[in-house]
Amino acid sequence: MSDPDHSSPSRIHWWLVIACAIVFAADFFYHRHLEPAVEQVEGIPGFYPIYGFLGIVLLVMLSRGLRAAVSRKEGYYDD
Amino acid sequence: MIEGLYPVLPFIVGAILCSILRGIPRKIIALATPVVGLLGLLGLPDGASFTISFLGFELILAQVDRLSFLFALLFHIAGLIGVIYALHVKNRLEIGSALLYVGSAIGTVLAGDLVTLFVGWELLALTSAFIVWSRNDDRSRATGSRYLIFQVLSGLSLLVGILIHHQAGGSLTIAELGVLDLSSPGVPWIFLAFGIKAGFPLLHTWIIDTYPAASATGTVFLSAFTTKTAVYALARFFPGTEELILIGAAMTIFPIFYAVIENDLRKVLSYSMINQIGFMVVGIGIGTELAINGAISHAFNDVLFKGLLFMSMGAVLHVTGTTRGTDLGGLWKKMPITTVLCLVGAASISAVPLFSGFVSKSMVMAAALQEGHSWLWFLLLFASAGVLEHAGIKIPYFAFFAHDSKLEAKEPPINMLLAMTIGAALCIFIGCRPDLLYNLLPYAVDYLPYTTTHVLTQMQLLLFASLSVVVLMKSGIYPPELVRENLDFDVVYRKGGRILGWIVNNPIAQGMTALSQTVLDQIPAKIRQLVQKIPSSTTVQWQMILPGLMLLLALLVFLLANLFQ
Repeated sequence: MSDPDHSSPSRIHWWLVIACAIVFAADFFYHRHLEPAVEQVEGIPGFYPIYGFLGIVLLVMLSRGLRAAVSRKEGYYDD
Repeated sequence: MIEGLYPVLPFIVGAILCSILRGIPRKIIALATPVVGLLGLLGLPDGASFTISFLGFELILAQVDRLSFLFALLFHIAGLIGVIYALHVKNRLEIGSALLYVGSAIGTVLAGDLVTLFVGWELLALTSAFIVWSRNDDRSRATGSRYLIFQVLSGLSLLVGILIHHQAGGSLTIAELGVLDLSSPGVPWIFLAFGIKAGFPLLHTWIIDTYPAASATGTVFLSAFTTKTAVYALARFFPGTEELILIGAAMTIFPIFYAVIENDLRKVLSYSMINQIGFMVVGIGIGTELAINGAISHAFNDVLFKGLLFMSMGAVLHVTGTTRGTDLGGLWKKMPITTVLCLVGAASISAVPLFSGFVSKSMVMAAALQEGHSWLWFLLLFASAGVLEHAGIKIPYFAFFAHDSKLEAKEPPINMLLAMTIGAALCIFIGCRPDLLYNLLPYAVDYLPYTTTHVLTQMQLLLFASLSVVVLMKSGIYPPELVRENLDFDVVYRKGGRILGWIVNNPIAQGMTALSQTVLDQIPAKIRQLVQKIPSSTTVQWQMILPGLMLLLALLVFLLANLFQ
């Protein structure tokens, strides 16, 4: 996709949002087993959802920086 | 002592026959080769060994234990899937090389001594280079040569290491060696040799250079064997080597950034491969029983799901002629079966519950926590989200969904679909029945992947990472696919000649050259001209006086120097 699709969310996106809401809510009803080494961080309700979401944001932001640094025109090695 | 069939033998015979025969007989032989090999392997008793005498050496061609058996089994399965996938290929060089290549990998992991290991290592290099070259276009010819240089350097490093190791009194028999210590003589060379083939950071560039350049079928073979043989070697000789934790962590992280911006989807998968090997290398570095089991089972699963993803992209390449994200999209309507099979591979590599990645990758992460490497665990969790982004979402999305590319496409030949179906079935099967894989692992497994906490936290991570990708795409922040060349470390040697040229001929060097010409050539030439203008008798007198004057000058300098001391 050379041009991101900016159209309004489709049905699959709503399903994704619903699924996200369910697994997020589960943190408040189910007592997860915590690993002693990272108990304090892992124990925060919503840790995995937040980490996953922000992880991708960080990944994409840094990748934009990487593209600015390493991207060359195609056939760069052929010249 | 020979007990049964040496598992490499069918591959040598099969390769010879396949390079002579054509048509249906060749297809039958190609299919029969890994099947016969597999039956031979399964018929071997535990602890079986094959030894031969060669030039006064007692070579242990094969020594079967749990670790080597698991990898040999994996390579037979991958070989069979690869042969089915490539059954329509008429290129005799490719299929012959591929069978020899599979045989070399099996011979290397079964090797009972370092000499046999080295021979297998070199054959692995040579046979795989021919697979690259068999595509026979400009790009694959150049890439294949660069690839072979890396593989030969790895072989050379291994040879040097083995020689120094042996010179220092080290045993050549693998069973006697146990774990190698990086500080003993020769061992760093052996480590480097394994590192090149495993794609350690900065030594990884051959992977992203070669795998997108080989043929659709060739890459399926290449992706399964070379790097996993190196993972086997690391697991065999360097478990618990702490350096591997850092190296592996770097391998899991840096490729995920490249994978976001890379346009060629087979190159995305190549970066993804380095990332997955990173998880294995971390596990080997941690070195506990849980970690080694995690690394080995993840290698097993990776061959299957990465193979499946490479096969699905190979199918796209086969029918459309391209794997560039900018050219693809909307193929799911024309290739629904391939789309579903690709999604199974995507779910497996992303470690979705009920798919194979879920039951192996988490063992490495659990081992990291058990050993108190909290920082490592956070990094691996981040890398896991990255895997979902590039292999779980980007690959299927840009190929089969996104905007409709209006490309001419249809489902690939039936043999390709069959090979992908087998791969997908194994991914789901292992994901649902991990105990069968666990039973083959080197150590007894005391790990339960399907706990409510693990399933829930993994779904939380994956669903919210997916949500994040969707939000970033909808808001236009996600970098669009572009037809670009993204520089990696290979720029150092691919453009290195030019830099070397610049170093030799830079402005400062040019100035120095001009200066030295002035001082050393032009000024003496002028003096010579002046001297020659002086009548000859005067010249003679000067010649006699000059040494005296110089001596006087030297004395003066000496005196002054002493005075002011």
